[in-house]
Amino acid sequence: MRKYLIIIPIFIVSLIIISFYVFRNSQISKISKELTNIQQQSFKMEILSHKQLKVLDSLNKTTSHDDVVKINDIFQEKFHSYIKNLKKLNDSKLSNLVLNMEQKNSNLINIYEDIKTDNAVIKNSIFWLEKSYKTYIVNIGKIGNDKEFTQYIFDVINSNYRDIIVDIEDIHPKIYEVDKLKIHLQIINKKQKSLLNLNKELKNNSLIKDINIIIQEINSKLQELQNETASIIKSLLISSLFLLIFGLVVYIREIMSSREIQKLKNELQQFVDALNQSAIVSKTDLQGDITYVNDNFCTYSGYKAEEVLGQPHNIIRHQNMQSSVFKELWETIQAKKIFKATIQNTKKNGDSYYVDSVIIPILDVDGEIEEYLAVRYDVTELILSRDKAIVAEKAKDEFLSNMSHELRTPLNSINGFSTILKRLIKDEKQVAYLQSIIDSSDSLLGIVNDILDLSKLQSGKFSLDYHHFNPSEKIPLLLSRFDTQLIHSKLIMNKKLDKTLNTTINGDWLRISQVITNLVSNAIKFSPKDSEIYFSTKYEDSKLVIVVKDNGIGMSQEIQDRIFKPFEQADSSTTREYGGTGLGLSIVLNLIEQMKAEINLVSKDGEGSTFRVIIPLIEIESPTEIEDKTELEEDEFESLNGHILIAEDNKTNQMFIGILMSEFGLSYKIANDGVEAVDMFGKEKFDLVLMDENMPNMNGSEAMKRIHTKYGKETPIVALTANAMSGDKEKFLELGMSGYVSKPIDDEELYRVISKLLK
Amino acid sequence: MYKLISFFLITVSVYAEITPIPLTVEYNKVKAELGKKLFFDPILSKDKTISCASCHTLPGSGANSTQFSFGINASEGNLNTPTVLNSVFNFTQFWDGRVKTLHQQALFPLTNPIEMADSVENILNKLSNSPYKKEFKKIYKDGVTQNNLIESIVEFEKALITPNSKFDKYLRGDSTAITAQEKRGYEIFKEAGCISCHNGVNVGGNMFQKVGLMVPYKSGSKGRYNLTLRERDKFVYKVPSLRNIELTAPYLHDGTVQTLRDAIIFMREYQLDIIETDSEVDDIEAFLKTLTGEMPEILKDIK
Repeated sequence: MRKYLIIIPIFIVSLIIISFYVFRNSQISKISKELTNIQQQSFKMEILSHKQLKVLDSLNKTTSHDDVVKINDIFQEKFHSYIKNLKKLNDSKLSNLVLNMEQKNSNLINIYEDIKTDNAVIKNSIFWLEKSYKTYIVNIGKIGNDKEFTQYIFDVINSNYRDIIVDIEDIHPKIYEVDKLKIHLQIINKKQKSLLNLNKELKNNSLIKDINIIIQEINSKLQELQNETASIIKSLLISSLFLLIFGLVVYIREIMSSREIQKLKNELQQFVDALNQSAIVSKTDLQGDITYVNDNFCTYSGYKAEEVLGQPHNIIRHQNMQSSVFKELWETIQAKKIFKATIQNTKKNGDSYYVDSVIIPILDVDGEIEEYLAVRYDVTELILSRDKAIVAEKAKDEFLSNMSHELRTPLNSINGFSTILKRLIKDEKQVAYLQSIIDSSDSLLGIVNDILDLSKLQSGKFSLDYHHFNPSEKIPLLLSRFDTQLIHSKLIMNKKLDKTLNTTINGDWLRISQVITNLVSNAIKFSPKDSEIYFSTKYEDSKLVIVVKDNGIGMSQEIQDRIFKPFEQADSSTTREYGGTGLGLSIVLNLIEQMKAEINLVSKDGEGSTFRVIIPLIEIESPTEIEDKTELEEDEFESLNGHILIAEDNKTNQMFIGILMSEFGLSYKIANDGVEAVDMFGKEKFDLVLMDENMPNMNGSEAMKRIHTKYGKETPIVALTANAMSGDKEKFLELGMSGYVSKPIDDEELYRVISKLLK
Repeated sequence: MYKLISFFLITVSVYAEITPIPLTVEYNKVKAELGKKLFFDPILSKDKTISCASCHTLPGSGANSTQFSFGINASEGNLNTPTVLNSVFNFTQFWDGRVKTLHQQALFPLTNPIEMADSVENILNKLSNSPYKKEFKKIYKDGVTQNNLIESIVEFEKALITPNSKFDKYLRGDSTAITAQEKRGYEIFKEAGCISCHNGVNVGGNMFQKVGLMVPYKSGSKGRYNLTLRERDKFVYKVPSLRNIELTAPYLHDGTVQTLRDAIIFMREYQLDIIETDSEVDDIEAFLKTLTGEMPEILKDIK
């Protein structure tokens, strides 16, 4: 609107200019008309002046003074109005002329009066002459004819006054009343001279010259006015043209800008439409009362627009929403900032729905808040899916937990019986077969353990079990496990174990060994035959540094980025070529994170990989006790004494454990579930109870509690469980179990635990 | 041949003419009545001693019967009072013709120190403080003003015409209106040349002429010369009207001639230098007396 304001003064100025010109033009035409009038009058006056001048030429004895008067009267009458008109013009040059003319005219009036006077006298004398002449003619016989005289008198009488030549010397003495004749002739002569003078004065006082000057003056004025009129017309045309062009420009700009505005409007409308189509939009005033809602708002909230307009916006607030959220909301938007949050709202029918809300304070031109605009997207599905996903994740964990039990139990049997068989069978070929079964089952067990570990790591249920250990003892032992594999793969492992390792440190050796195992396994797996693997380790600055280097296929940077993700290998083809679950490195990474350690990888496609692991571990200055795990010779168990209660529901396991007990030199009884176990414990004296956790009717933990309650805690109870999730051991020990052996049962592990407890 | 010439001369000779006074003249009666009242009211003079009518006797000659008139404080002028009657027909006013119209004339006597000797302002004041105020207001929206004062007087003066003289009746075709002697007098008036100057509706009053045209006549006043300072205007006066001439004695501008007969003889001597017989003078006198008309209608109520 403001830009149009500039038009107003321009328009007014143009209008003023135009109206000025129009006014001036009318003035000019009026003046022109007056001037033209005067011009016409001047021409008439000129003619009259000429007549005036010639009055004497026409003057003779027949001219009555009325004629003279008439000429002047007409002149005076015209002159009067002429002068009046001239004075109206208010022109300084003309007014001087007018003054001059008025002076001359008053002279003229006098001259005319004089002519009148003289005329009366001459006329009278001529009249007398005429009379005398008649008498003379009558008496011509008596006095004789003087032809010359009579001719003379005749001439005097009949000539125009100015032609009279009066020579009174030669008048015949005998003539009638000669003295009188002489006097009259003298009068005529005198008046004749007077008239000649008057004629001269008439000429001197003639207004013709002045009138001519006036005519010229008026002509030039008219010319000027004509010029001015022409220029005014030109100016009018130009200013009209200017106005027209200006108007046109403004008009065109107006059209252009209105088009642009229309375009902007359309674009904006499209945005608004898009917003209305997709989002829930509402507006409130400064008090939070609803001033606008779109169709989506009504659709989602179940309210009609007229039901909510004017209502406070918290009409759709859900009771679950904490008021602190709204406090924060108001603080944010009142500070002219945009508030974002996911909010649970209530529909008219009481159902709730979730919205991702963006609340924007709309500012006016002065930067003050005018109203609030809320744009919301319905995320109810998303929230519900998230909740479902959380439930599903929980289910997965439980599934994995259950699966580990279900997988380990049969593996337990396979592994256990194969080991037993291997001891019994002497045929080398059969032993080799059995060893193959044992290896496969070990491998499968490793995979199952990996899955369980990862599952635990990711679900956050994992915890580290710190204890004291000497790396210089543990690491070579661990590495020796790969000897068989190395020989199989025709690889040489170049080990460099620094002497700094010979110290006692506090850490979870089990997890560290897991890291090392995974890295070395990988190195072995991906190294070509007849190549070298490099392994070095040292302890310095309270950090255990482990480096594993291979000459394998290596990895590109892109692959390095993905490699630590679960179930990822360099590419899907590697799975087929090298086998494996792809869990190894992912577990390593998780463990590293748990131990607050670092791992870095230097690798190039085709040039092998180098993993460096740095684990912060505290050195123990005065080692108290190092867990002594006596490694037994494979085939020899020192015979033990004792009566053992085995609570186990699985028949295969019953049998397997029974065999192991016999091998250990122990007697035993079997209970099929928890209830039976408690019952049997009361009937006989047992030295130790092996308690499976997952049993029908009553689980192991519950049975243990009953036994402890009924019969005291003297008899050690060892948990046997396939719930090999990390943390299970601690859980069972906390419950009151004396030991813990996970399934599948490692005979050596079982022996170690039992022998310890029986001592 | 001479007869032919004679014939020619006679046929071309033209006398100037006398025309009758119109029977009525147009004027505003209401204003004229006010003017008439003012004309007779000495309020217009400085000391409220004289009115217009003090010198312009009405009804009557419209002039004064003395040689000169007296203004206030008995001051005396040097010219004989011209008649106000028929003055509307004069080509100029005053003896020297200093103004053309009655309108221009009226102010002179009011302010002339030897006449009424007042100022316009004072006159208007006097009128405003008198019953005239109402009378002016009745006629004029703007009441008492100089223009209204003059106009009312002029309107009255316009009415002062004397129509229906015997001679006018004769001129209008009543051949019995004048006697044979009067007719003879008229002819002599023409032939002697009187008519050369005394002609028109006022039998005079339409040109200037020198007093003492044929025989020089010296008087105290130099006439129009005082106005124009032209040599030839010395002793030049307006030719006076001969209407009601028998009433306006004494005669001439200086009022030196007491009787009409003497005036005729004076004119014969100084102006025409012709010899007329006594009987011819008688005839002219008889003719001149036929120029006396009826007193103006507006003066009928004044006895």
